[in-house]
Amino acid sequence: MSTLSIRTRVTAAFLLLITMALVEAAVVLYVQRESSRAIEDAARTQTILLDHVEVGRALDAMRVAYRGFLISGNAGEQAEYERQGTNYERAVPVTRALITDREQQARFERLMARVAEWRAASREVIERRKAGEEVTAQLLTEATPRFEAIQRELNVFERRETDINARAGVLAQSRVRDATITLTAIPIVAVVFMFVLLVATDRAILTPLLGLTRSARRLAGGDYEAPLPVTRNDEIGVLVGAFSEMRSAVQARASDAALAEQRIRAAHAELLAIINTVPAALVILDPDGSIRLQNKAAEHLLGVAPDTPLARKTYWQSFAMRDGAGRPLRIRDIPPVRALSGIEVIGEEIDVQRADGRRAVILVGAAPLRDAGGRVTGAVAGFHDITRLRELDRMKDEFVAIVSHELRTPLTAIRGSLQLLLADNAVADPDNRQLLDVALKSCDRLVRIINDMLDISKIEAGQLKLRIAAIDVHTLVQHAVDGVESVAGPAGVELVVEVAAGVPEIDGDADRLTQALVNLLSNAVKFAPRGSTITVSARETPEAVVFSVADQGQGIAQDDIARLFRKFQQLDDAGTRRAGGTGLGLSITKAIIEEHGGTISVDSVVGLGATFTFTIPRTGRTPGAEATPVAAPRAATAAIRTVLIVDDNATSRAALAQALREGGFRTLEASSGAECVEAARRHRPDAITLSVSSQEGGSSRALEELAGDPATMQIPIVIAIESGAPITSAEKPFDISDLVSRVQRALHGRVHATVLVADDDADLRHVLRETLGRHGFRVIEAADGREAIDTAAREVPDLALLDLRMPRVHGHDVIRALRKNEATAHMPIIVLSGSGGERHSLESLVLGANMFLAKPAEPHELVREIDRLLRQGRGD
Amino acid sequence: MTLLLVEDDIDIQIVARRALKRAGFVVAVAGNGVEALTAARAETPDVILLDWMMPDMDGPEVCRQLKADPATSGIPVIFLTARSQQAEIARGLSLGAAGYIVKPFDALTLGDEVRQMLGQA
Repeated sequence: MSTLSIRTRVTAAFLLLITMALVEAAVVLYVQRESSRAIEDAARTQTILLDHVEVGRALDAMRVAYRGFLISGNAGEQAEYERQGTNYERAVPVTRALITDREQQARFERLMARVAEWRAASREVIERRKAGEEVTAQLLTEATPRFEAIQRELNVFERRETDINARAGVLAQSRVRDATITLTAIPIVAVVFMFVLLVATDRAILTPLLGLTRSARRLAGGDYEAPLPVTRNDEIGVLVGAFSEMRSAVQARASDAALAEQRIRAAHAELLAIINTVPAALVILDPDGSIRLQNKAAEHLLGVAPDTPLARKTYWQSFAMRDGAGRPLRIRDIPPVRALSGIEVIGEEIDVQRADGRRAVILVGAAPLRDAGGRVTGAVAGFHDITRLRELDRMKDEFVAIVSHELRTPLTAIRGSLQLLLADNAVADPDNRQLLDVALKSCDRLVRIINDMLDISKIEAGQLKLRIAAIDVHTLVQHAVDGVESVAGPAGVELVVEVAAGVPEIDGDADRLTQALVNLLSNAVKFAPRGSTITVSARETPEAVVFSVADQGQGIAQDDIARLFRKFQQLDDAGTRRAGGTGLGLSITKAIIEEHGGTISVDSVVGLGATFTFTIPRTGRTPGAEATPVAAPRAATAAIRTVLIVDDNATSRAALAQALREGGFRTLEASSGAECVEAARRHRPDAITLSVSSQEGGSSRALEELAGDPATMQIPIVIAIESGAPITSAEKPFDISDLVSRVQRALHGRVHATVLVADDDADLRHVLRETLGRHGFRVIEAADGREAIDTAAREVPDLALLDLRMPRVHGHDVIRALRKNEATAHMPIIVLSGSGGERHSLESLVLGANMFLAKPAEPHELVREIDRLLRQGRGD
Repeated sequence: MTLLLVEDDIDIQIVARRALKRAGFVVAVAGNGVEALTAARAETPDVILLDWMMPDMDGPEVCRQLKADPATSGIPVIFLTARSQQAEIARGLSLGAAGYIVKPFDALTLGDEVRQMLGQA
């Protein structure tokens, strides 16, 4: 049984049930047939018995009639005999047909035969009687034995038949009882069978399944020892087997996982050890900005060891941080926290003040950590302490400055002495003069070397700052040529200038560009053979002004061109010694050109000469259109502009003079119109400020005179004060600063700076446009933050005036956007806000605004600050 | 024309004085800032040539004090500086200087430069 599958067993049970049903049907049919046959038998024997009585009665009646006839000879008796004979004959076949029992049949036939004999004998006797034979006793009794025999036979027959009948009745009864029993028993058997089936099912399926379920529950709880139901060979057995396999697999996997976890823990510990050992400071942040991990180096660098959850959360508050420009950094703006928003920060310099007051300059890199789905799960930040580096940098700069100063002082003395000796012909002997000459040249060379070294040190520190102004190309080139004429002449080299007519002005640092051209020219002179020509030219292309210096020297081999612009590279040692150079000139030149946004290249055919070409991007202006050319710079001396102050009030004059001197001007003073005209003619000031006073009628005449004289008609005149009230320096009226900027604008050929005014208040925009417009600014307007960002990106104004509370985009976000855009990253921004308060102003400044002014801002103050910021931006 | 040369280095003093005398200036010399202030008040020169780097009181400070004193505030001041110090030059000018001359100066043209700066070319 235990080897049979459940399917087999269920099939068997089903077949058994069908069989039982069929058997029951058969049994019922059989029992019914049997019992009906038994009943039929009983009925037939009953009929036979009744018929036999009929036969007996007919025989009896025949005998009575026969004896009656014999005795009386009455014909009636004979008729009766005949009638009874007919009854008998009618009854016999009916009875015979009913008899089924063989013995009874035989007995009946024998009986009938005896009856037939008796009847034949009696009929003979009757005939004899009729024939008149006498009835004797003998005759009377002659038939009696025969009849008695018949009677006996008949009795036997009757008894037998009664027996048969009784037996048939019993049989029928028993058949009925059997049927009843059978019909009752079969359902009982079926119920019992069902019950057995149920028990068997329970034992075979449900119990093991429950056991398995319990085991599965315990397995889920981590108990791998939970007992399994006894294994059998059926499906449950297979299931248990499969379950057991699964349990082994789960157990194996669990132990694998445990092992892997152990390995991961070990690796993690190793990593921690490594992280703690590396000298770079590392910090790992949770997504909320709190510290997950910090290595020893970071602890050492930042001086904080967060060991409680609170300390981890407030980690960043343990020190004050500032950005490279010295602005305080809010926590959300520090690089590691910014990295949490998915930004990678590379090499940002911040200044950290630790809780213990120590300061460090730190280079920070930070990157977000992501899971497999790309979700930010934290950030890692590396800190590199560059305090010492910055200190060294500073020391180096200081060192270079001091050394250069210390070198210059004796050099100045030597050079000056030599120059004076030579100039005054103090030394008459030509040989000695030659020696002095050599000493002077060497001195000049030393000065050049020192200057080059200083330049290179600046370039390397990224501190090569240009003072950009519009430059006339003709003047620039001529100036450079003048600078090397003294070397070219003695070397027998001719300098040819070819500057195309109509070459536009360029924006650049005139001193530096002159230096670049002089470097190229003196280089060319050094290598040019006597009697050759050096051509310096300038022409325009759609994008740039192209300068080139071509010599007819020995040229430069292709292989050498690549290292031409490197520091301390000298291609021909002998030649260089002859010419005397530091090997720095070209790399300085290259840096200057590139700082201007241009490029430098060299073309050469060995033996035919070399051509150095550089480009300076065009500014789009044509000569005279906007800016007047800046006067050619004097080699080493800055031009300081002179302003003639015309005011009849001495106090006002003094105040104006003070302000203008503070603004970088030299001042001359005149107290009347007549004095003014005289001073202007004599001193040719760069500008005149005129206080138009009601007390002195001469100003308008003075103006006419100045305008009429060709010598003075070009001098810009700025009307300083229109009211008659004298001003004092104590009052420091805004008009004075205003005046300074107006004078500056007049001199710089009207800067025409463009100012973006972003404010949602149209009236305020109107006022600002009027005010600024009167001061020579071009104003572009934006009615909300979005427009401000778009306009700034499109027009790139020189300065932006921003309101904070603007529709669509808040002023802070505008600042952020402007700072992010390269074109406006360094544009001065003034926040002009009605929402005062330190928080707003601080936030604006932290975001990169240059200044915060609360509304309502005094127009003069505003203009003064705009001027100041623009000046700072230009670096002048 | 009188000129006060303020210079702590004796050698430079000698050379500059020769160069300026040659250019027609009447030259007085001060070896440090304090001397310079005293001399400026006492002699009210037409122009002061002021070294930037000096040990006791540096050029800018001397200039500030000269400009603060009404007796000397009118005297044009020209700085003698090292070329590398552009930022400082801007500061110097904001103090009211008339100009600056970069060292090493040219002994033959020093006088002309001073005159040029004073608007007397």
